[in-house]
Amino acid sequence: MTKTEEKYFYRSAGAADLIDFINKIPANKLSQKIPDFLDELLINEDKGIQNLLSYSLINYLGEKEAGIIARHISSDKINIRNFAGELLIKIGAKAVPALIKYLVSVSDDDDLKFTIDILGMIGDSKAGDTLISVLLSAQNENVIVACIEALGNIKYEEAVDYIMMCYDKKDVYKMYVIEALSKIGSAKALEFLHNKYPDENEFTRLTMIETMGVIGDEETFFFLLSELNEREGAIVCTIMEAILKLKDKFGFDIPFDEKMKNAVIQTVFAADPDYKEVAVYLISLFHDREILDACLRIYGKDPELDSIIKHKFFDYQNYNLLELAALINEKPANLQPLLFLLQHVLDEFDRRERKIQNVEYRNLIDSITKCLEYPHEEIRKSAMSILFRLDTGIALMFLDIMVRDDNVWNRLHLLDLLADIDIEQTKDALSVLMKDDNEMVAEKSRSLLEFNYQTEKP
Amino acid sequence: MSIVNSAAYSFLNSEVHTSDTYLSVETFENLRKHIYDQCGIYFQDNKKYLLEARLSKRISHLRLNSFEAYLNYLKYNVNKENEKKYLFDAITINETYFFRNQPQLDALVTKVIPEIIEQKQKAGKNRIRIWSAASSSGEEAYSIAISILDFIKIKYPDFEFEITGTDISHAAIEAAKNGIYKDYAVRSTPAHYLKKYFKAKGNVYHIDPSVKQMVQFRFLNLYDDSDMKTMMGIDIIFCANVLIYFDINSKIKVVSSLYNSLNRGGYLFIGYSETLHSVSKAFRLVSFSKTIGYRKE
Repeated sequence: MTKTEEKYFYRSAGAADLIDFINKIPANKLSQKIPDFLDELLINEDKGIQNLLSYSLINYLGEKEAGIIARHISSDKINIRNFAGELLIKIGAKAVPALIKYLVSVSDDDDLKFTIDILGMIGDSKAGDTLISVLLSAQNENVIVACIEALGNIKYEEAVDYIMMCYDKKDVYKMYVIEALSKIGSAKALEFLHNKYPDENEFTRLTMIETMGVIGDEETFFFLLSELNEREGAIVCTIMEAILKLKDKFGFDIPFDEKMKNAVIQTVFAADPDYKEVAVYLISLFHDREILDACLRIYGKDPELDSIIKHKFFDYQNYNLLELAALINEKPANLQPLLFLLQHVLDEFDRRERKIQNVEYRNLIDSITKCLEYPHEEIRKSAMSILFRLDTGIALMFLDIMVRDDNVWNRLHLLDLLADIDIEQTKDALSVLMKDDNEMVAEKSRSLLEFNYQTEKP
Repeated sequence: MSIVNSAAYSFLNSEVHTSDTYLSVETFENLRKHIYDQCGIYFQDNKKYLLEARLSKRISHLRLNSFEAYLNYLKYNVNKENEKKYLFDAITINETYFFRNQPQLDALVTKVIPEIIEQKQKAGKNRIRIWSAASSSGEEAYSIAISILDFIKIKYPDFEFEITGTDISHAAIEAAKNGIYKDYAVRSTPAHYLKKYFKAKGNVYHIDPSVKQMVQFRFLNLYDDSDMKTMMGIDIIFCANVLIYFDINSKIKVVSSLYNSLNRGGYLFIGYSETLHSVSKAFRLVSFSKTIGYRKE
């Protein structure tokens, strides 16, 4: 095929023929051949062709090919433009010179922004100076933001001054500047954040603190600790997260005082999924009764946190159950998980032969008896089980309430609990349940009563 | 004992001669002084309406026609000693309930009684005397008895507990001796205690004989020195929500008498909102979980 015939073929052939033809080109000739048909392949929107370029030919694409591809950034067709961008990112550092060349020639702001974004994603520092010059000359807000982001992405330390210059130009740039500085992370960037912090609003401070957690130094660690004394609300979680990052970075110990305790409690209380890891870490880190009490209030919200809270609870030797009883009395939203926890605790106490103190015992019984008439049937069921577990004698005092439970499964559960108790007091309850409207309940009561009677008779 | 604004003023007024039952400022001051001299309770100026309302019924009952006449009756009538009883009933209201101060009761059974038992055992004694010094209708004294039954008796079956409830109101003492309470009085009582130590009859609760027999009730005026001398050798005193009705001088006098009544190492418990600050320095303040007590060193 002559050159002219080949060109015609590339333009007019169907995708399958084209792929077949290219696949037959010997590997040692591919690099040489690709520039001949690259343009034609790029404008072909067939998925098979795009797949061929992305996977089979990508390793043959270099600086020269990047120049050809870069021209398609200006394509009117969004698919072609995006595909060109993908290929350039895949080519990586080898595409940077071509992109720089394209960047200085292009005048459309959208194309400019797109090219800058690609350079940022490639992350090669060779683009740094060009990006700075674009940043300094650009008027378009999107182009400036793209430059700030790209310079942050390529971690171009020489750009710090120029990025910082944008900070006060427009409010919209502030977050991008902070994020870029966070990625570059120079001492100058950190000093800048510290200087700007006092005059900023809460939202910007939040981002600054996140950045300080990433690029902060020893001074930042203590600054953030002092910030805990000043702040409350959502920002406390962010400060705690930043402190923990710096703690790990420098191996510091976190001083545990009242303020820290309150901050930990606030973070745990917030139970924000974004700060789950922080909460988990803090719960594990500090061995404190009040923190444990705070944990109880969020128990049941997240299985990972629950598992840590449960272990912590068991490990806390001095823990008494008064707080748990008081919390159950409050009938919180997490009452059911708390009752499950109490059941586990009682099992654990048995295992450890830890006796429940008298006052704990009294308060627990009081809290649980109040749950016997709770609207939620699962809670009533748990309360029955716990009460029998705590004190059969006292549980039997409340049979009048339990036999009236309007959930049939709860009444059956009660019969299970009564099955092991072969004493006179259960007979009245069984007699009542024998007349139950539900056949299963009535039948089971009858058989239990008969069994008890038979076993007692001899 | 407490004094609260719950009098049905308009109802009481309808029973007396309205023209003569107005309590003048001068008579109020004289009446207030008389009451203060008798029992140490001081009616602030803003409580004039309360005193007026509370005494009107009694004035009507005695067929007197003025507060001045009633004051003279209190001072000079041959029945003046007997009338004190009605006066005290009229000026006190017995608003309390079972387990009103749970942290105090917890401290009592977990710390104070075990500590005192240890002292008693060393001294070869086995009796502990507890005084509910303004027992009203008996809720506090019975709550103490129930707590002892539930926590202490099983552990120390050989120890004897003498619980005395005293009050200035004869009506309150009678109610305490009856041991019958409405729902409202047992609102803070743990449900299993209600099952265990009370018998529900209709809409009232009868205190169980096992609790009742642990407590004795009698009249006592905390402001009366001779009365106070009858209460000596006490190990633990509960005197809650009383001091707030006394002026500083009465408080000093009453607390000093309570101090004298206590054995060395004994404890005084007062109400949530009360303090011995600037009343007595004789006690050592002891902190317990969620409450405080005062120990006689």
